Amino acid sequence: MSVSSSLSRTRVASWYERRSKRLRRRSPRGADASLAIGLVIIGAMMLAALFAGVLSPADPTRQDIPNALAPPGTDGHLLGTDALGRDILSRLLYAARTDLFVAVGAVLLPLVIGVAIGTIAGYRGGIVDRVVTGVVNVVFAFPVLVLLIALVFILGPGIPTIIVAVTLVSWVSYARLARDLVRRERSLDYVLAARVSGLPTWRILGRHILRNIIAQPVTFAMSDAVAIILFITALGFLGLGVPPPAPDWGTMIADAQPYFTTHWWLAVFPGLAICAAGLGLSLIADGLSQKWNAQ
Amino acid sequence: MSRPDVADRRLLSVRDLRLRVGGEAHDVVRGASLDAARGEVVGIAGESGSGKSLTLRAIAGLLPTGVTVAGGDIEVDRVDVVKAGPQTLRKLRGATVGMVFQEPMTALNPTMRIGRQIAEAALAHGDLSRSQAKARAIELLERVGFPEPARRYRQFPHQLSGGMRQRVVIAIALAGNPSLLLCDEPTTALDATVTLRILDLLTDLVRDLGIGIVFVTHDLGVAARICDRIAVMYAGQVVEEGPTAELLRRPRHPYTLALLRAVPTRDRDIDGLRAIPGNPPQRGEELPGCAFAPRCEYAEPACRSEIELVPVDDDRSTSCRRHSVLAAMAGGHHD
Repeated sequence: MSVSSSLSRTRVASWYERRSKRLRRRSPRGADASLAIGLVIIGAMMLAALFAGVLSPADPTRQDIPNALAPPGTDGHLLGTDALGRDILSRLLYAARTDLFVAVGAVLLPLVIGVAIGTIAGYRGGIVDRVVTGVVNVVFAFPVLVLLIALVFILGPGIPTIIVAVTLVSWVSYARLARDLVRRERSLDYVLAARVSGLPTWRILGRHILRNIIAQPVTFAMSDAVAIILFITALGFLGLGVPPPAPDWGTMIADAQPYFTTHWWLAVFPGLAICAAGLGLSLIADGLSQKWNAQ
Repeated sequence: MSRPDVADRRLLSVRDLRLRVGGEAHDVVRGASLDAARGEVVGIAGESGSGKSLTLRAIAGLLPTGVTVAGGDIEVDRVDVVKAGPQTLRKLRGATVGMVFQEPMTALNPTMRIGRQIAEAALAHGDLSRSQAKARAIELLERVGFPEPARRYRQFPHQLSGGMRQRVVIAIALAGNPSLLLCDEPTTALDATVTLRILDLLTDLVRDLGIGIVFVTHDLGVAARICDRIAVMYAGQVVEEGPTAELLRRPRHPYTLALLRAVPTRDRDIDGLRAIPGNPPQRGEELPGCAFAPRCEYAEPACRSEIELVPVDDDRSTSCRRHSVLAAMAGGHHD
């Protein structure tokens, strides 16, 4: 190798290094911050939910009518009690358990199923793709909320029902997203290179294509989780959610309805919990998408 | 073809290949024929749209969706690629046929370490353990010219220069020990010095491993440097085929001659360059006879009737019916 050409290679290499350094510096500042804050919020909520048994000052379902509607700061009830004298802090902590669990389940299942179906449809093309796209469009055409409410009515209320109902409806978003990404990706040379090396299809899909497209569905899942938490609380508010006496933020707000103007703490604290969960997940989604976009 | 010496080293035989795009009623490749043997580099030269890349992809059984083989035979190492099922094709790819792409950045998975990508290709065929595959990958990295291959194994594509990336692509193509390497304009995205070194690497591989290469390019200079034989394609047909030196020195087809006159050289100033008048035929245009005839200064009415690739001289063939006219004035053209 001649001196001049190895020189030019070093120059190219250093150009790459400089460029990638600049990219690294420029983007993730804000991304890291929102990711960190989001993770702290969600992490804290998950820990609180996990250790609800230890942290709660009282049994969340124990009624204490004489002490009903006690304001925050009352002895033994940091956030007050509700209309049946149940400790609001305890109920919030246990509700986090229910709501976060449902949110995780109702996000993971559609994510996995949707991405799998979308990936196969996008890679295979042809009739498989047309059938999947058709089904996706049909599900998309329904108003999601109405469809979900109908499903909860049919299957009966309960945590598994909510997860199944959400999965049945929201896998289509992931399927469509994954399908479009895979279709773009499959014509790239590296996929062709993998095919021409004789790799089996499942390996091409799993090791090569999925790795390159997974960022977007995961980011979408994070923002979807926000919507799902809001949706669970909406269901609870409509009386279709988690059956009583198990606590859930939406049901708590719904139960507080007669007291909105007189006893604010019944609705405000679960409302704040929902806001915090939504904010935390949004921040994670935002941070992830910025980080991945930078790469 | 009169090449008895290569009969036993025969690796690839393409006969009258016709490729058709989707619903269109005409073929984009219209009867291409090609041979390649071990230890030999065969070039396919032609301009964009001449069908050279599609021909190459057909050999690997990797035609894009919508393009189908409308006729002809492709035989790679005695396997009929046109009739082969998916399983046969999968075994053929990697183990018999490797492919090198034009743009090394997109030919590599950006999220995987380069060593893993090579090891994976090695694992797809040989009965290797993971550690053996890794050792093989490191050995291949060294083979394609990486100093410190063990350290480079862990790098990502974006950490490499274009030339180094192309070397990785070549290593991946070699991982399954193929006997035929298909190169689709492998140097087009590289600068001149890097191009020369990649060509040297490919030449070394042919010599050391005894593989055969089919090398698609639009650059006659590159083709002249690496190819033993060249097939010139125009509008989906092979118009001339022969040993590189002969073909470039004494072209027997007016299109080859026109291409050579359009190549800038050191002792030819800009006025000496001759553009080819007219345009290549549009897709779907009816082409009775020689597709080049409308642009050809030697054309006569008879050129508009059926043509075929016929042997001329020793070891060469051309589709030009007036090749003897070119031969007569051959003394006049030297580079």
